[in-house]
Amino acid sequence: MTRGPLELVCPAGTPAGLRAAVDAGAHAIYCGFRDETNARNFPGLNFDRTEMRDGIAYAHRRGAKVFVALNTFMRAGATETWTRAVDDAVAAGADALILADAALIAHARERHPRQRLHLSVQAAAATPEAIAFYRERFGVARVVLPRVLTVDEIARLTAAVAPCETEVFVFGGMCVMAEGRCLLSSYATGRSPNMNGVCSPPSHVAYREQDGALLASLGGFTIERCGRDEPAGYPTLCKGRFSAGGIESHLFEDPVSLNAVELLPKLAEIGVAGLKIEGRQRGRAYVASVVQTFRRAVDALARGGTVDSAAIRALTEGQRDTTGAYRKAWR
Amino acid sequence: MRGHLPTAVGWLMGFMPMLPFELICRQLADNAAAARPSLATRLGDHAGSIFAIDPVDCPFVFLVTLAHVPAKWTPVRRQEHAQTKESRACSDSEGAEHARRHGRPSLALRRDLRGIAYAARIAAPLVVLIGMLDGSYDGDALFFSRDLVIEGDTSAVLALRNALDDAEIDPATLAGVPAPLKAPFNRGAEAVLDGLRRLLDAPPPTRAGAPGPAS
Repeated sequence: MTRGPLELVCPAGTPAGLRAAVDAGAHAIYCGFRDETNARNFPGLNFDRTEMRDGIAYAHRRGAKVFVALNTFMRAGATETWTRAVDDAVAAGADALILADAALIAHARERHPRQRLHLSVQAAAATPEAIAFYRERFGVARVVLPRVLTVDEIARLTAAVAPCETEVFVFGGMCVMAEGRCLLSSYATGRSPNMNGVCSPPSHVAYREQDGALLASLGGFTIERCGRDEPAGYPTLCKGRFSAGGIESHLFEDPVSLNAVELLPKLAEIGVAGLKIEGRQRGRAYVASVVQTFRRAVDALARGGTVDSAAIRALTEGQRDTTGAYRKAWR
Repeated sequence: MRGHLPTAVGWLMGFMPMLPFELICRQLADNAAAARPSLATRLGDHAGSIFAIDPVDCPFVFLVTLAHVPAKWTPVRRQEHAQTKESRACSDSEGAEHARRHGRPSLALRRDLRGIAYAARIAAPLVVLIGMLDGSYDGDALFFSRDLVIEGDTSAVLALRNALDDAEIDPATLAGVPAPLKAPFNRGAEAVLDGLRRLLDAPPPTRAGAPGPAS
């Protein structure tokens, strides 16, 4: 069931990153404002209003779309921050808004009835019933699926929710938690991606070298110790190394990156509309390299050719990659 | 860490007079700041922070502040002093805003970091640090492969990395080369730096289309 060409949805943390993604062949770019309204609220990252307007104009001149991520949950007493961001993104010419908070989606639909809306992975909608609710109530055009589903589950879901489109992550940081509901970061730091836009906020992260080993701590808790030549990963609790039952291991999740490039033919076959690359916090060199590689793969697939992923392995977290849950045999 | 200069080169650099080299580096920093005024804005609250940029294969360390506001020493009458202090009291973010508006880059070279206060230290071989500045490398990839060490204020490091990445500072901008000569200058510099990285067995650049590791 192939419904159309696969759309490559690529990250941009800065205006330079956006231009790099567009120039490398992204069909669409997702990015956010420089505040707590998006889930990558890191220092030095994101766009002010002028940069967003200029970035969207740059992308449109080259035939690419821009999706604006406003995918955190509104804080009581400060909802205007989010509703104003929706209005500003629409005014800037966003091709779609990526939203998670039901009240914010309601605001967007009511104020901007013609605006295309996507449901963020942060909304954790992974059942036909949940997606149908957002589709019927708010006219959501696409849902970004969590990274905990198998390809077979994605196939059944995609068929069940049509004509609502589905978008899946194909490369970048792995998250095996129920996104939008994960509180691990809050336990250690008091801040979370859901409310503050930051998982493991850098203000609470510290690194130090000890006898050649790299020690990473979050909120004062040491969560990882990498040996002299051992690859490092992001300092998140879910990827920390813990001792349990007398065994020291990455208890929840290894520090690896998702790389589903070899699954592209299957994803196309089951009717997935969007292929999402994670990494708004990554540099423009990374963005350009990954986007170029995936665009070649998507184009090769469209011509009936084969895809090659070896070139992008060096960019992966922990220098290792995985197809994650897409091929999982456990539950 | 990969990409170290030969030990003999580092040893010879130890005899280099610091002041002329420091003046050249200051000029490069001024060129970059003049061409990219948004750098300090993107650094936000870290605009006035001191970064220790440590090329681990060289006998010196750079101390850099992207929006430094020189201290002003103005004599005031004793009774005015308390009033002035009160009226000038401002929050950290107001201080950062002041630095963003009125600051300019400050750069100093030191033989080592003993006794020096800084917000964060970023350490890697010289060719790797240059590659981060010109956008050839992805900072996260270098960190994952342990080719880069950071310590201190992680927020400040991230803000600097993101601000520099957005600034797209190429060799021609650093050198203050006139616009018509920028493209050939950058092509030449890129070829030289790529060759040097291969020679020194530095990590292959992340940049799309960059040459791979030496085989």
